[in-house]
Amino acid sequence: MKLIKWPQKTTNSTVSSTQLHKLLNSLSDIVLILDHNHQVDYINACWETMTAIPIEQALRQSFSQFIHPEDRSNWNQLLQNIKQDSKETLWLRLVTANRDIRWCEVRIQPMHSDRIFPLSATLCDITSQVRHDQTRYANHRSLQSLIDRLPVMLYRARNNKSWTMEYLSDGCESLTGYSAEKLLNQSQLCLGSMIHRDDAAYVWDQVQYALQNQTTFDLKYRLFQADGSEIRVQDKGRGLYSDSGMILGVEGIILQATE
Amino acid sequence: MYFKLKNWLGSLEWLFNNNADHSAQKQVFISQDYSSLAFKLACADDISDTLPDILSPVEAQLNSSLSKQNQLSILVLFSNPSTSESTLHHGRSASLPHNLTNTLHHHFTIKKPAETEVLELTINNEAVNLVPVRLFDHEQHTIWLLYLFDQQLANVKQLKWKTTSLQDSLSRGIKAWCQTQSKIRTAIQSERSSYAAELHDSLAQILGYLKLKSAKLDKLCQRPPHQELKSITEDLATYTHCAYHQTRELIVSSRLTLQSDNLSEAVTNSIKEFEHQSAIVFDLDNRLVSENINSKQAMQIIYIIRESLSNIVRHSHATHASIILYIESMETLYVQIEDNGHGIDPVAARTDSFGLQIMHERAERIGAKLQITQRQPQGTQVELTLNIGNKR
Repeated sequence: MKLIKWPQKTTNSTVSSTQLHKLLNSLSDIVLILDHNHQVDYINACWETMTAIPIEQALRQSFSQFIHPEDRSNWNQLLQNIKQDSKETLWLRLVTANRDIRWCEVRIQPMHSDRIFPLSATLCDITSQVRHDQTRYANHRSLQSLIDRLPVMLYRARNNKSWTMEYLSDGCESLTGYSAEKLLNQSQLCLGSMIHRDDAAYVWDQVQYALQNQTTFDLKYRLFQADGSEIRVQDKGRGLYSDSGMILGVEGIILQATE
Repeated sequence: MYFKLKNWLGSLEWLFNNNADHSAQKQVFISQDYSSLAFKLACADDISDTLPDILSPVEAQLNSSLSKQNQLSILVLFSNPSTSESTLHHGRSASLPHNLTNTLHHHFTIKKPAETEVLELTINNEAVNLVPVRLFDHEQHTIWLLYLFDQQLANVKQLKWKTTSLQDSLSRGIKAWCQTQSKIRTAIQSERSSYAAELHDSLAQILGYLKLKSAKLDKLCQRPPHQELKSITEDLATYTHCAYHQTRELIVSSRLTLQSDNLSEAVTNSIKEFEHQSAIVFDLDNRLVSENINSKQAMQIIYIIRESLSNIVRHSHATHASIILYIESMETLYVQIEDNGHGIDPVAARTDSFGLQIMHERAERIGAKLQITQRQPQGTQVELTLNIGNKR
């Protein structure tokens, strides 16, 4: 058997260690190597930029000491579960020299295919993304809480005689006696089945009239609650249309009529 | 049968050891009846008074059967790792080493030890031998019986044989006392909660109405022809406002006692609660690894945090709020609550300053320092610092 040695590509061999060093230090992500004691063996210049902690203070130190106390158990668990072919991802917080928090996405894997340690890792700063998500979540949460606390039922329904519900606010329960989950996308238990038989046709006709004319509707009719009692409700809404004018559904608000 | 045989073997070993030790006083140890001791403990009003009275004669009686080198002190340690509180009880005559409570607190409450037959601790650079006996666990407390030897450790098997009945009675008595205390606590809390509900439904609503009316009356009397009534209506409005706030305060306190006294858990729950009332981003940065504070301190801190959060939701017009908890150098607990809102309006703060005043009072009650300042570039910063370094 003859070993054939292919000539090496010159492009790789020309990258000197100085260039490699410069390359690593030019990156805007943290690159690091962890040894078998989970201590930092190497860390690039981005570490200092991101955390304001000098590189010398991080080298040969356990990396977990720079992680937010609440995230350390996740980090330790990740290190314990890491395998030779693992490529793990984790979101965690680094505590900077100024006591600030930097959210990071950590990607970690073994450097060699035949053993677990040392590990190589990159830490990408996702603080602005996390803050943006928090703001978006807070707005959504606030709106959702507002809608669910209102003593009315907001709905989006399909335009069929059952008025099959796609969305219902939590006010549904106090108005009808059924939870929103029970009524969503149901054909048997639906708003249509709760409307008084003598009012059902009137409701259908009035809504269809409003939909055809692309106007709003404001109706009063009788509704049977879950315990069989009859209440009078006011239903105010409008149609949902595509750009071409096709009717996609009905949206509105139902509340108990005062009279 | 096994128990008797064990005792018999133990007594043989003891006799053998006593014969070997010629310097030891040869006394026949008579097993005592400690059942009255259990009864006394179970009925105790204040266990801190009763336990020393009980431990002193028992300690003297036990020491009379031991050699001079083996003299011991009997200690009972109430340890609560979840709130990091330790209470040490001992006989009235005991002269205990300085720093003993601190060392025991660190070993039994902070470190949560594995059970060992003999424990060697270093107190003031001197080795001290301790035989710890875990009596029982009650709610979050662990009750330890500790035999502390001044000089030489006695034969542990022999000691345990001699004190079986004592341990049993102490255990039964303290357990009964703990159970009674739990019942009393539950009864008080349920009574408080019903008072809170009543206050909320009746008094607070009436006071709320009076507050509005008295403020309106005061406003009317600022102009002629009622100006001569101004000083009376001003007082009326201020005191009604004060009464309203104090009632709200009582309601909040009664409700808080029913919740968790674990600071991290309570802060997380409070933030969740306030999150649903607004579109403000609440960022909790909790760096507490262990909570080295007691339940009274936790309760006041929770109240201060809740009051700050409520101010942020009601007055700040902020979009972001951050709550940071950390301990520096194992000594000082820092709680920082910041927002990016309008900041405290000095004029508005005067008319609605009861909340801030009560926050300061609560901080004072636990010896904490509270600072409420304008945050740069905008918003308010509430900073509470509490020294927890020398806590037992």
